[in-house]
Order: sequence, then C-alpha cells, then structure tokens
Amino acid sequence: MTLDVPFLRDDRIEAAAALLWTEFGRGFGSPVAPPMPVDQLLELHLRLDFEIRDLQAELGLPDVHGAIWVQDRRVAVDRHLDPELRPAARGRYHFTVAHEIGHWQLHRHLFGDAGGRTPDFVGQGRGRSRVEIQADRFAASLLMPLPMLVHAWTEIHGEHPRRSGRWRGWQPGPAEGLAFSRPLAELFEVSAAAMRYRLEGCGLLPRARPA
Amino acid sequence: MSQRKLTFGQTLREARIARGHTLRGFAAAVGVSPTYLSQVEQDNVDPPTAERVRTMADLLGATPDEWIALAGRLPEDLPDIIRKQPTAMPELLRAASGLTPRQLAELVDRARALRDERRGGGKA
Repeated sequence: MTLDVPFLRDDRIEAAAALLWTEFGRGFGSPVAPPMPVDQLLELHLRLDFEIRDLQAELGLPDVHGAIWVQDRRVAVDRHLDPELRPAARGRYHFTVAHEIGHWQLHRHLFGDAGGRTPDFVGQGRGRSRVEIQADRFAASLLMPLPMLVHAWTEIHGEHPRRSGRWRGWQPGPAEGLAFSRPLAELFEVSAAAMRYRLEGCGLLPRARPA
Repeated sequence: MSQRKLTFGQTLREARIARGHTLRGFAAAVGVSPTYLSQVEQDNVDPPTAERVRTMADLLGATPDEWIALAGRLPEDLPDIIRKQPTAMPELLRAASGLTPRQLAELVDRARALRDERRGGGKA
C-alpha cells in the first residue's frame, strides 16, 4: 500500500530510533555493542506478534520481505529470510524486522480501526515510495546507531573517522565501497550493501562513484 | 462467564513471551528453526513430538505432562509402561477414569506409597 506521508527529516528519524533504544534500555538494559537486538525490541518491548510465513506465496508477490498488520499488532517476515535456514539472509532478516518496526513507530497512526487479512505495509526489495524510504532510514538508524558505528569504525581502522586524513580524496568504486563496509556489516549483522549505504549517509565513506 | 480455550500454538506463544523468549532465541534453545516454531505457534502444523514438547515446557517452567496432553501427544514413557503390564495397566486407567482431581491425587499418593514399600522391602 502506498501512502502519502509527510516529509520527515533524517535527523528526526535518527532521533526517533535512538529514543526507542533508550526506552528499550529501561526494561531490558541498553545494548552496548552490536548486533542490535531487534527481535527482542519487536516482541518483548513493543509486544508485537511476530511470525515467519510464506508471504511470497500468500501475497502473490515474488520479492516480498516483510509485512505489518497495524491493528492486529502483527509483523511477519518471509520464510526465505529465516536466518537459521539461510545464514546468508541474516542481514536482510534483521533489516526487514527493523523496517517493520520503523512503520510501527513512524506510520501506525495513519491507520484506523479496521483490521483485516491484507497487511497495511508490505516491504519489498524494490519500488521505494516515501513511506518505505522512511522505514528504511529508521531501520538503518536502529540497526547501526551512529555512536556505535563511529566506535566500531575507530576500532577497525585505528583512528577516529572525523579526525582521519587517510580517506580524504578517496573515491571508491561500488565494489571497493562494499569491501570496505564488509567488516562493519559482519559486526552489526547487516548486509554489506546496507552498511555501505549507512556509512555513505553518515559521511563515514565517500559516496561510490558510478561504475 | 466463558473462558477462552487456547490452542497449543497460542498457549506456546503466550508462555514464551511471558517468560521473555524471542521466537528465534526459543527456537534455538529447543533445537528447531524459527520458521518451524512460528508454524507451530500459528497452528499451521501438528504440535511437535512429546520429547520436544517436554523440552519446551521445561524451558518455560510449565508442567511437561500437561503440555504433552495439550499437544495431543502421549508422554514417551507411557507406551512402555502399558506394554509391561498389558492387562493391569489399562484396567487401572479405566478404573481411574472419571475420578475427581482430588481422588486421583489420593490414588497417586497411595500407588507411590505401595511402590516405596515394595522397594524398601516393606519397612515402614
């Protein structure tokens, strides 16, 4: 479903994600190191029902990753992303859980009382409307909090990213950008592509020059 | 007042959340995939084996035999017990069927006392 949602500045989305971790920390203890416990956040803090389903078959969409039924307080992730059955999908699984939490935090007020069989939001691998982009940005902030990211960056490279001159003028190609992002992606249990995008957005990696 | 009768899957999900287990974490502890556990919670597949239900109940601090019954399974040790005394055991179960929980508890206490007497050679 495509909704016409108001513009949200990135720093507001970042702050909303940070606030959610603060609230989570009151009940469960603040996460101090990656990976971020988004499963716990969704099921135990937000108390949303969580399911793994064959969404691709049920919704007839070939590349669906997740869905949310706002009035039912229910989130589902497609079974093809089960991280135990498909370890390579672990990053995408985490991003999908975080993306649906993003819809819950940012967009749930847009829905009335009517529950139903059709999900309110369906997260797919393509077709990015504003509402989906906002949920993606929320997911990135949730899974890769900036202070933790800067700390990890510093640990890996032995210097603070803002004070380093080593990277000045470096223009990585897409493959180089992914290779640079991979160690951090493994630490945060996200895909290398999601990490690269996040690093670029935070100014911790120059934007990849077109291939 | 009518009380909502929960399915095995609903009971499992409620107990899991109440004890602070995520779907993934609980699936790992039980030794199944999150997809399978989720299917069980949605009642899309038959409940797991009695052995697995016992593991789940132990992790959730529940009574294994109750959960095994809720799952529509028989405790693993029962078939052997019946096979060893194929006439007396079914007869005992039929005779005890229909007793109140209090009467059953008394019967169990009496049976345990008899067994202890036999093991202890009849000393008081």
